[in-house]
Amino acid sequence: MSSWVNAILVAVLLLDLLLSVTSRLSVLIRGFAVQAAGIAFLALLIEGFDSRHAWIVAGGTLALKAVAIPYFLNRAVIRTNARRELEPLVSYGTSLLLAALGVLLAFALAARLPMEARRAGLLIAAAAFATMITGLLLLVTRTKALTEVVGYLVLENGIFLFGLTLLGRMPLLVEMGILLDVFVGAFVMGIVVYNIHRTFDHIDVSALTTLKEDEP
Amino acid sequence: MNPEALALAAPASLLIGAAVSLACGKRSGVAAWVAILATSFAAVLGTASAANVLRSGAGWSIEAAWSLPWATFSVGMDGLSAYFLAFILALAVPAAAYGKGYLAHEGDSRWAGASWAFFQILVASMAVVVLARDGVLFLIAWEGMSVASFFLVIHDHRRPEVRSDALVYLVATHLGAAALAAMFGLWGRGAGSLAFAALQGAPLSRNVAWVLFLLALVGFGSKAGLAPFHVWLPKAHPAAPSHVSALMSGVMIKMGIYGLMRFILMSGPPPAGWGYALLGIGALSAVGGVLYALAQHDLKRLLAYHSVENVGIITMGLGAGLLARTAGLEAVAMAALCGSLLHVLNHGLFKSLLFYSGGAATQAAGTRNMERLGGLLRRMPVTGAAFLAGAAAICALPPFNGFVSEWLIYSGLFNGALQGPGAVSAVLFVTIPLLALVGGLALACFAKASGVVFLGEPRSEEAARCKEVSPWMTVPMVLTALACAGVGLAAPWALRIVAPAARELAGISSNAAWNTSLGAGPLSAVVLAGWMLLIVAGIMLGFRRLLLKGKALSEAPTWGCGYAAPTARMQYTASSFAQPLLEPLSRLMRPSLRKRRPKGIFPERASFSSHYDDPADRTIFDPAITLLERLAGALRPLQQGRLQVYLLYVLLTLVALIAWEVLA
Repeated sequence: MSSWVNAILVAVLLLDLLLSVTSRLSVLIRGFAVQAAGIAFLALLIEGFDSRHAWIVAGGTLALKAVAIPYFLNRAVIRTNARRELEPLVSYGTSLLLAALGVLLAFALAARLPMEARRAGLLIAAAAFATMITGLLLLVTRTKALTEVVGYLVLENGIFLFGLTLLGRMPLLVEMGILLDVFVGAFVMGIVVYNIHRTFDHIDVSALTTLKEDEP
Repeated sequence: MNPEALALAAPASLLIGAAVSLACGKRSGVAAWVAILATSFAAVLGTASAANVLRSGAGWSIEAAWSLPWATFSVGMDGLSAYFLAFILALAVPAAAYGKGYLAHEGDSRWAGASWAFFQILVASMAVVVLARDGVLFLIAWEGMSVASFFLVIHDHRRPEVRSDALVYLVATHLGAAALAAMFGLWGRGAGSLAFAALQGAPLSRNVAWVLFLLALVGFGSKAGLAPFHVWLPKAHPAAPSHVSALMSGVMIKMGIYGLMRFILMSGPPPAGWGYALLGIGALSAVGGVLYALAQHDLKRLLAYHSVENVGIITMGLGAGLLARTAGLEAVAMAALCGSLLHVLNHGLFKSLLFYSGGAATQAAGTRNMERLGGLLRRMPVTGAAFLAGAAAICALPPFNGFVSEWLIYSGLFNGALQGPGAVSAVLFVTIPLLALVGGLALACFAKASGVVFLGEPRSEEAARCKEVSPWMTVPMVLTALACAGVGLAAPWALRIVAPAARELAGISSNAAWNTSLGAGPLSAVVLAGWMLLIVAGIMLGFRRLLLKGKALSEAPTWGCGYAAPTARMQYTASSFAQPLLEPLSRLMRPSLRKRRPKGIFPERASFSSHYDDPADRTIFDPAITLLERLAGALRPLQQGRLQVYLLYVLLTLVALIAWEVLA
């Protein structure tokens, strides 16, 4: 079983690198969906197939993050006609380098975690941190509203993955609450993105700077 | 009802009144009625409760658990609290009634209900401040007072200068509150609790006691308006509507005095150094306040500087009382402390009166600039007479109340100087001429203010068209003026209200000894002189009437010395009246003068204007604010307005924290 777990975690790490380097929005969304599905499966593997708790969490994650949210995001891509992220704030090569550095940092941090948090192994904590850092990296370096949304979702993937190390002890209600939050958040952002597009003819967040206070 | 319940019902009824006023929304008249009723009801309850404590001499305190951390709901009343509670609530009633008249011209505005709600919240929180017996409760009430008064100051928020002046007040009051929070924190850390009872028993080392005293001086002094923390007063008082100015200047700044007195009661027998410090800062405020008052053209700003002066006099009395206490002179301490406490009430009365009448005059004329007023006594007889009465009271002229309290302070200073040991005696001897100087300058200042505003000919069209204001405004004025005279003419009785608080501050249990030597005994003789003055004035008036009986009276313009076309602008102005007094001090006061002298035989244009910047602004606060702005400006590039940059800050912080954790 452990080899399966490790294989999925390595896949999650590789997907992080893919997400940081791709310019195509459809690949970005698909990559996120696959990562979410992998994490859902991981929940079952770690907690065991006989735990009802694990089934609910895994099922919810799969349904929302691997199916429903990617579906909405894809529709937004088609409607807004924004297929590529053309103007990232740093180049894709640099982005990949930063993500790789993030993975390094994640391993260094995971090695220093207390034993309590490493119940499920060093790799899972490292993958969790790496995914969070990748999500933040996407948020910081991309300018399309849709990419920002995916950045938040990837960040949440990392948080969920870290939660897995504590799954047995986290109440079901909290897990469900987080999932619902993410779903509603993505849903609302999808609508907002569509409306930004309708109003401004593009979904470039870097143009939304009117709230800045002017120099006196 | 027992006094505890009565005392707590007073702020509670005010808060209920505030909620009802707020619910009135736009209906300004109804909201004002609610405020007047709630304030009067609270005043009846509060004074009944205070009278009980003052009469029996037995204080009380109750304590209840509270869910806030480090806090207990402790309230209590002793002589000091009882005196201040009665003072706050009694003076809030005429302010509310006057406010109804003053705001009537605004009609139903959206702001009306909220404004009256804040008025009642201000009064309620002041009542809680004097009742509180726990640091947290005290600070909450203190903050409620500051915030409510800020919203009252910003009443005319459509005028930009009101907004900026109110902002100065908000910052100043919070700097003071920060000093108080630091004081309570430092004190409570040593005592293990913030309840006043625990703080009172906490042993303080000499240095800690001094640090606490200085923090209290900054915190309470900035509320009281002691120099150099007074800068907000001349800005906030003119900006606020006049009933709010009256309440703030007459009552709210006394909360700073209350705080200082409470601090001294709680910190045990004060060292002589505190007495010297209070005497010094009081003298600075008194002299500085009256000098800058003399230099003002804005009537309400002039009154605000007089608040600085009078708070200075109160603090001088307090300082002298503490010095006499450390020197073991009980009777002298009682005289100075009674004078100081009585001056709190007196200043509240006559400053309210001056703001009522001055506010009515400036509202009727539409300007606060004295150079554009004049001749208002004929047009607004009640307002003018009320202002003159207030001016006589603030100049400490008999038979009004200011005379009595300043007489007591003088009595404390003279007797302390004569009986005290070397250093105390020397310092008090220096203080006496300073106080006399302040009295003389105050007289000059009010001769100027009442002469320029109410006598002579109107200097502008608006002033010429003034009419007497509504009874809502004149009745509170007349009542307050009568109270001013009443306290002055019944001073031995008024002394009994302040004596319990003064005994607590002087640390003595019985006032029999001092009462005959320096207290009610000699005071009755002084009051008798006031009565005599009234009687003589009455006889003279009657005699005048007798002589004029049956003779025709004619009125004619003043002889213009042969000028063919005199104009109202040829009169003495406020600036020219004050000039002989201010000219010798120009090195000290640094006026900014702009003049264009008349040239040639037929001069066309000539002009003169003078402006006096507050030295505390010039030397302390302006440089400090400039420095702060420069530092804050350095941070401005951080605000990019781009989402990604803000998220980058989060990411960088996170990475830095992780790296620190990894490397450490």
